[in-house]
Amino acid sequence: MSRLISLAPFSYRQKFAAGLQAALILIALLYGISFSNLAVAAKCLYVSSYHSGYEWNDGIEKGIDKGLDNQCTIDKFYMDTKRNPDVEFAKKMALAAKKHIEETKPDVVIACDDNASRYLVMPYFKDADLPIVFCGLNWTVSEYKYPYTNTTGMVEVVPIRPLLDVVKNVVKSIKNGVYLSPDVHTEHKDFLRYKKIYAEHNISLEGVFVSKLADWKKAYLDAQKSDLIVLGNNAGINDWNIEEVTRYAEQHATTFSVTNYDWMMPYTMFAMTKIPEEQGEWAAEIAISILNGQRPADIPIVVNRKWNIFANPNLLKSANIKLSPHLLQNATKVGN
Amino acid sequence: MLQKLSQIFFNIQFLSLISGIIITMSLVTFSLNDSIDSAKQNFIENTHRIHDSILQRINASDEIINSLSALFNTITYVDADQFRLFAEDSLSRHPYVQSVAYMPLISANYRKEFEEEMHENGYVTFSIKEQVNNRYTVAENRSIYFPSLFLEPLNATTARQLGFDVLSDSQFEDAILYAIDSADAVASIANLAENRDGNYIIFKALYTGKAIPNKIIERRQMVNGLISIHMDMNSIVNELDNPGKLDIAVELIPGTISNNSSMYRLVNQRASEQSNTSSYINETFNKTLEIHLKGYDLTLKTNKTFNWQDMNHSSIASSFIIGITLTLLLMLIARRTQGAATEKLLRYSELRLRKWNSAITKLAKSKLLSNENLLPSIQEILKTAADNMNVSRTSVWLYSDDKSSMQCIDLYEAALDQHSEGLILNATDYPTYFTALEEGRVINAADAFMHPEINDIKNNYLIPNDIKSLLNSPIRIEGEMVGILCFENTKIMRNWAPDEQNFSASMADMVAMAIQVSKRKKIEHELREAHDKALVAEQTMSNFLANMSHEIRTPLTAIIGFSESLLDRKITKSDRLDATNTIIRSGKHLLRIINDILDISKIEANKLSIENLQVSPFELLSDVEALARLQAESKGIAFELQFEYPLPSQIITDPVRLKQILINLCNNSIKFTDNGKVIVHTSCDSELQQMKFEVIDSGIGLTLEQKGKLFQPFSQADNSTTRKYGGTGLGLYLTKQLSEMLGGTITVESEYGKGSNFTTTISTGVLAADNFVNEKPKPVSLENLPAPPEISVSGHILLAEDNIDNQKLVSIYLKKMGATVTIAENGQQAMDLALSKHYDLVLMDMQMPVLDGLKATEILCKKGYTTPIIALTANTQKEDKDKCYKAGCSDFLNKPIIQKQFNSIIQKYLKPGEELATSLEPIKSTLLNQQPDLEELVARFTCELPNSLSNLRQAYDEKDWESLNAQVHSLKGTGGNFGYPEITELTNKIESEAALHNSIEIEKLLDELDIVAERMAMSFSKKTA
Repeated sequence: MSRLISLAPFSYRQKFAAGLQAALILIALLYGISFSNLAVAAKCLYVSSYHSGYEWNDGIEKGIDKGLDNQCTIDKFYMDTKRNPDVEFAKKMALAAKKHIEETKPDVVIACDDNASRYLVMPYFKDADLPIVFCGLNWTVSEYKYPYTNTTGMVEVVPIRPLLDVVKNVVKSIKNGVYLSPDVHTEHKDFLRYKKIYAEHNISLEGVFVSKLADWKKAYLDAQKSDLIVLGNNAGINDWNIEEVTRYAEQHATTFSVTNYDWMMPYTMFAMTKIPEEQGEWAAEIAISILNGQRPADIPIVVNRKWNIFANPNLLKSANIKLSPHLLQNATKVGN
Repeated sequence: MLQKLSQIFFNIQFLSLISGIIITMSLVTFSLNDSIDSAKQNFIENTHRIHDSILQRINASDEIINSLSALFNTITYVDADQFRLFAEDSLSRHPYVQSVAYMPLISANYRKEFEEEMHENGYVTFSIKEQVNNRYTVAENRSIYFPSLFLEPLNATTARQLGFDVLSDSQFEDAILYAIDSADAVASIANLAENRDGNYIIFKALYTGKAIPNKIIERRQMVNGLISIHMDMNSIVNELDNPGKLDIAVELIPGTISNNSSMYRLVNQRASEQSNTSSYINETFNKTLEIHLKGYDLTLKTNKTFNWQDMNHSSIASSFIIGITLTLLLMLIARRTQGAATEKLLRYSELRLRKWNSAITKLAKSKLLSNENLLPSIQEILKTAADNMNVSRTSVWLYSDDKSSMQCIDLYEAALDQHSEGLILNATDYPTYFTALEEGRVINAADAFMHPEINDIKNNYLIPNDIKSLLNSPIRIEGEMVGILCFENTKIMRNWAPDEQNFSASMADMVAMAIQVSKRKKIEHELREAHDKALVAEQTMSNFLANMSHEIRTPLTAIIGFSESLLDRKITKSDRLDATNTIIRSGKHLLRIINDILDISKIEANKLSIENLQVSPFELLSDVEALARLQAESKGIAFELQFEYPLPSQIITDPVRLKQILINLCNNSIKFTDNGKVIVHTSCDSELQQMKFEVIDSGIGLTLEQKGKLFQPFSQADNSTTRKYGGTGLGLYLTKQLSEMLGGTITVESEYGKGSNFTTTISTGVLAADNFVNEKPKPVSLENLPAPPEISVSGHILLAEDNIDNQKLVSIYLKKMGATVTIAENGQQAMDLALSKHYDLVLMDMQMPVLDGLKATEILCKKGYTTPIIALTANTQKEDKDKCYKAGCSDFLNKPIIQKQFNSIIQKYLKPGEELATSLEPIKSTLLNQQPDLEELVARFTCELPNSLSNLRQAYDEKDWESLNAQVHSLKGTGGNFGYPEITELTNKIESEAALHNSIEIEKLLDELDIVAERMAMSFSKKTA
């Protein structure tokens, strides 16, 4: 600007150029303002399969807020299927969500977790005009026959391979391991994935599925004889008692135990878990790209690739197992 | 001489200034060059710094690519998260690295399995892709692929590259193959050149095993992937500006210096700015260096346009200050040298200026300049100017009004000490000189003979007067040039110095002032005179008003007084007759005064119109005689008409106005003549076609002074005359005006104490020879006819008149004639009544409220109303009459009403009626026939009856029906009791009409009651008589 002022008196052409420059800047500013107004005016709808206050949901929401960065007004609809697992309830909520979409006419919908895709997107919005970004879908999207022309998003995978790298570093000559989990369908599916990947590394993984705490405790004690214990979820063991299991683990843990669920950390030595914020943030960034003109079909479906790591120093210490200092330093410590 | 000296010294100062400026400029130029050299050195140093900086940044990519390579060599399985963590770290440290990627080698037979595994791992849309027309499509079958597997940062844009086989892109192919063979980092400069996005990609191959194979063939066999980093060359180049603020344009061009491609140039922002910049210091530095980039060569070009901001300002400023100081020093020395001579010059100038100022001051104080007479002032100025300027001649010339000539008001010749005047120069004779003067400039002619602007006065003016030099200064008054002040030197030439020209201009201003003062004095004198005249006029007007007041009040007093006395029933019939005559006389006098005033007003407003009718001068003079003789005889003086024959029997003039003139003159003469006689002598000048009337009296006569005041408005001979003889002073003035309007004039000859002779002439119009007579024809005049007998008419008349007094007066006249009268108070009412009821005649006043008579008449006529309408108006002008006739009036009656005329017109339109004499017979009380002893009582009733009737009329006027009824009822009984059945009959009728609020009938009945009361009184008065 100072250059313009100093040279202006010497040339009319420069004055004109300066004027033109100023005009272009003004136009750019106005364009910017109108563009930002347009973005602000855009409406995004977040459809959650769960409810507000549920930790996973809240993490996703946090990621969405960060990713949207106020470029879009966000409206939220909760299907609340975690507290109401009944299928009919889910269908009813999906219909309500559909009605809400038709009334509010959002520019883009962010549908999180499986029930939103299963009960809302697949039956009502497959290949529709409305762009939909999904996130938090477990492992595969084949159940919903994704991709549609109007969808893209992020699939949620359990970090089996990264965790295996840690395991191999900690247990140098690992040959076998026990996969201990409730006797539920999801856990059987997860076990098969584990088994396949571990087999690639010549590690034999045995699946133990229980329904009661006593059975779990017995199996846990038996598994201490193997090289590794992989702990699945505890949802499905109805008489689970956190304190009791914590005490039990502290008393008996000698084998390196790992999990992909952070809430299993009181009884596990090391965990590598998914980050809900990553899902939300990605979904929001994609939503903005769509609002800026990208077609959902042109954006590949990706998987999550950020993990949280947890370590339970008490259990590690009592079992006399040492993690690399780098790993331990980066891990969130759990326990006393 | 002094001027030349001054010029030389001025030149020395000027030279000093020029020298100083040259020195200053030399010093500044030296500093500038020094600054430029210094800047050039800095530029070269900075170019090397830029070169090093770019190299350093490019080489930083080595660190990233080697680290990535090490990561993949040490960890068997690098997952996406590990890659992300590593990439995020690198990207944060190297902002000009756009992205990093990992591409595993996938052989054709493993492609399907690889893709399925990716699907299983959640990348459900994953496939190995290639780019066709900027769109990613599924890659065609090839033996090997390098699909992008890990990309950081991963976002909506970069995610599209997931699965993209970099080897499928021809622009990367060479670099990739060279990277595999060389096991080194290789830049794909093709991207830089062709994509023109300012980016390039560096590839490095990953091999199976910890060590890099030695041979190329082994490298080709053992390669298992690639890593790449995406460099943003634009930010590398542009960020150079910021750290050092080098302000240098940088261009990065693919190729070597000798062989660089012109396909693409990377330029920093400063370079693009400089290409648009022109500087008044056009010094541009250029430098070219080569940069070797991962197997490719780049050429670095820098340039910088040196401008003002780059200079060493303090050095330049110092040079400038030194130069200026030197300049000032030189000028100071020159000034000192000049000082002494200038001082002498100044002293002389000052003395001369003082002398001139003193002369101007003396002139300004001179009493001559405040004189009304201009010439002495001008002479004084010219003498002063000549003495002070030491010139031979000074003169003042003033333009004529149209500026076509110029006259010398005064010429002063110093040698002779003489003034002369009068020479005139015409613009037509000396056009060049006059044109030059018109421009209003000073004409400064040191050599008068050679000066082009005065060339045309050379032969006739300059040479004869031996004028060698001339100086003309314009004389201006309020901006306009009115003349010139001329300084002339004879015998020898002289230069007119600027201060002499100023003095000349001041003298010209003095002349202008003298002219203005003279003019102002004249105006003041005229104003004083006008003021004096105004005062006299004011006094005259004041006297006139006093007279008028007296003249109008006197007859009014008589009218009011005698009218009131008529109400008194006790006065005798002869007293009543006297009173009535006095009222009539006073009324007529008042009418005359008012007529005079109105006539004067009309004359002054140019509204008085003159009729031209055939008039017999004899008849007219008879009418005048009829009036004047009575007046003269009443004063005991004689009145005589004298005719100087031959006289025309008929002339064309306005008889009314001529009669007015003669009556006025006669009245005037009679008024001022106490003994002797008044003669009206009439003669005619047939050649001039003028009648001449001389009114000769033996009255008091006029002094010379009194004669002068005659014929002036509002003036009599003097106030004492007024006091003694009365009069408004309007008569003679009016007479004079009328005489002039009739094509003549009026003069007076008088001798104080012996009498006056007023002579008036009027135009007669064309006079035929047979028109003249030698004796007076027998006079015929309406007013001289014997009084007509009492006339009687019958019929119903509608009287439209808003004035109550006039309503009564006309009603009395009409009733006396036996007509029945209905009164309308305005035109609208008159129109309504006329259309609703039959009348035999309508008398219509022309000026009335609501609807005036003229308009009402017009409407009635338009509606086919056939009853004659007679206009009743005080507007007696011919045009007023015409208006009435045009509106549809059948006839015209003047106000105030002359009864004879009135009777004659009424009689014309109504049928004759029974004799009225019977109706005015006295009414005698029937009661007295039976009881004559009650006469006193009946007489008292009769006497008080007018009062009762007056009360009755008041109640009627106020429309107080209740009171009216009560009074009528009482009167009905009393009238009957005192033996007057007429009263009973009329009051009975009034009672009935009052119940209906029928005003018109009540009015009529009240009038009848008045007549009955009068007749009742007559019976007693007759008895008394």
